[in-house]
Amino acid sequence: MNATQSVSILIVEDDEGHARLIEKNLKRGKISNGITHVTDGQQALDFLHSEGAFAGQVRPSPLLVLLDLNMPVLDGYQVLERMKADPQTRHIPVVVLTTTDDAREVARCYDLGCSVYITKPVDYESFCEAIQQLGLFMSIVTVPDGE
Amino acid sequence: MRLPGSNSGPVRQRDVIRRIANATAAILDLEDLLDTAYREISRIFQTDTFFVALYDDVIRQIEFPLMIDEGARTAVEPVPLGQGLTSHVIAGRESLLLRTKEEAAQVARLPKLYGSMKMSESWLGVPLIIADRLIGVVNVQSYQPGAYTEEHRTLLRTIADLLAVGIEHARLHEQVSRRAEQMAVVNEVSRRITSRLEPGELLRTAVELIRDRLGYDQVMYLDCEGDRVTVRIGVGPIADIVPAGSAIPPGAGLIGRVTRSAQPALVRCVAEDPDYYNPNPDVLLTQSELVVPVTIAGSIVGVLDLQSNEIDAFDETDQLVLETLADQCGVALETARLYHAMQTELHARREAEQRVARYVEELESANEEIKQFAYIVSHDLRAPLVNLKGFAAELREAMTALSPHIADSLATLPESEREPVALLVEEDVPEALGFIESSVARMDAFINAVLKLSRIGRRELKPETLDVQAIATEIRSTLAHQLDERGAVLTIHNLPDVVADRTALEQVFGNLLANAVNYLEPTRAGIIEVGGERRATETEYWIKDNGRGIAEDDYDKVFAPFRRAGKQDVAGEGMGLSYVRTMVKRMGGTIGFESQLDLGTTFTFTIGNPTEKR
Repeated sequence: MNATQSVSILIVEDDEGHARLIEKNLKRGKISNGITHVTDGQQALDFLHSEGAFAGQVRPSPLLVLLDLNMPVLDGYQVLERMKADPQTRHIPVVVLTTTDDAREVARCYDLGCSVYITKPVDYESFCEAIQQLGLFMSIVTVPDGE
Repeated sequence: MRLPGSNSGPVRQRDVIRRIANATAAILDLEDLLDTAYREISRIFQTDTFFVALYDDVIRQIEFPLMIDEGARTAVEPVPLGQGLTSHVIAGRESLLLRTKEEAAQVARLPKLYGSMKMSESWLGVPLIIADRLIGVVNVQSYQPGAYTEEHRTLLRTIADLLAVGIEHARLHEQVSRRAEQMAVVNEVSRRITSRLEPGELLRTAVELIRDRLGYDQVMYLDCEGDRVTVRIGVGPIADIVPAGSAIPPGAGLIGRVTRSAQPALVRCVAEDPDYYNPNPDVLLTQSELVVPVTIAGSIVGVLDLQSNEIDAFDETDQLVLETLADQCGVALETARLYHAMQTELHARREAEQRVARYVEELESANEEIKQFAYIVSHDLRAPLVNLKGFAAELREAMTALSPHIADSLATLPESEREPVALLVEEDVPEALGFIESSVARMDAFINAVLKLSRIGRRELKPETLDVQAIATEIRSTLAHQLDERGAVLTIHNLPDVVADRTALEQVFGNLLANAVNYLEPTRAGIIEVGGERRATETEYWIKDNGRGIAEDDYDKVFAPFRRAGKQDVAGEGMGLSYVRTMVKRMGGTIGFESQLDLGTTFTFTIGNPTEKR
């Protein structure tokens, strides 16, 4: 469990409620270290490149991005596309969180290189489960990264 | 002056006759023929004067294509049939032999003199007759009295018979070549007018070409519409006297006759035709006229009218030419009319196509909006639900965590205040959370249903030949438990195969059969039957139950999304039959039902058969 503790998380989510719920559940899943929340795609990129409001800050590593798709300024697709096109951010795992399980949308996200795609369920219990499983997933992905 | 001599003996005469006979067969030009005839006749006759007269019995006029006076060719104006010697021969159809001036004076008081103005003593004229028709006179004259004998008369008769044949031959030839020449022109004119597609322009071209290429100087086209006859266009002096737009009195004149009879009118001398009508005798000097009808599909739409200030300006050849052109005008007018009709239709069709394209565009945009709507429903409406549900759960969890503390606190409260607070904590808050959660769940179900409906509309169908019997049997096995529970029997009759999308058809049957089972009447044994029939253009299936039925008031709710009819004791969001109808429509079919409350319902749907590829 030590490995999971070291993972920092960037939540990119314009819905404050969703962000709060995600955060709460991450904490329940014992992922409480270094959670940053931004509300649009541009801020996410600024964070990743230590620019704008995040100028001068060192980007934490290892890092996981929880990315919403529908956002103002830059949407999730654009963020994903730019992250995967940039060698500096290409390796950062991205979990897409969205409200729909539309097949075309899922396919598009995988095409763009997202690692995992999670539908935000209205059924809260399963959502918690998904987020907590994510914690488990993080512990797996971070082990080789930590070596 | 030539005197009869030894060289006019029988041998010489035979030679002359032979040569004239040869000439009549070989020479096609009238002038050449007559020259040859004169040359040969003058070998054996004294010919101080020689002429050939041709007679036109229609206008009773005599013309002189060849007149030789003392060896010199002399031009002579035509004369009407009169009292002269030639007229005498023509009228009597008998030859006339005169030996002296005195004899001549007894026959005709004023013998006509030509050229030298010297009076002949001897005069021999023989009628030119062919097939019993008198066409003219051949005549020799001499200053010597008694120059011609009965023998001469007989000889000239023989020559005249030959010459009549030759003249007729030459005239026919001339007529034929003139006709051929005219037909070439007619061809050209036809070609040029049929390429015109605007009626006014077409008729102007026709009239002008008839004038320019065929050499008629006064040409008109008149429109005929029932009794109304109006000048459309004219050329030549007549165009000034009867300008375009002038109306001809109904039924008047030759035009009236032509429109009544639908036959051409060829009038060589208008003065002799009782039908002729002159609207303006002071300035309109027409002597002859030719009118032919222009018809389209058997009805007269106009006439072509040629007029001339000369008598006998037109003959049958002119009539033939003009009739041909009139036919061509009719064809060209009809072509122009059809062309315009086609243009109009094309235009209308193009407009209709544009309209359809616009509708398609509007539909596509509406469809796009619906897709957009589905997207909004799925994302934007779901997002707040996630919060509602999530924070309700947070509240519930907080309450759970709080409850031991609240219980402790409650104990510290005075008895009188304890009960209302306990009510808040134990009933009101959980109740509120319960309503929030159940409402969220319902809302989520609606949204999912809308999404599903929109996806059905988008999903690509893959038609294949389906064993419908097997599909229905498979569905029955999945419903076996419910059927047992209700003691119901589902009978599957012979079901025809169909070409359709497997999933769609399975869903249609699945929904309809599940409905039939779910809405059975619990008080009687359920009987459900499935059947089908293949027709020419579609395949029909029906599902019949003896269930609770649908009230007539509820008929319109059956296929509407989110609408549920009757007793609400079966779980569902009211989308099943909406899906079914959407899928049936996409498979090129229709769906309907018949139902009676408390007796049962029969749903019938069709699927379009694939069109034969051949």
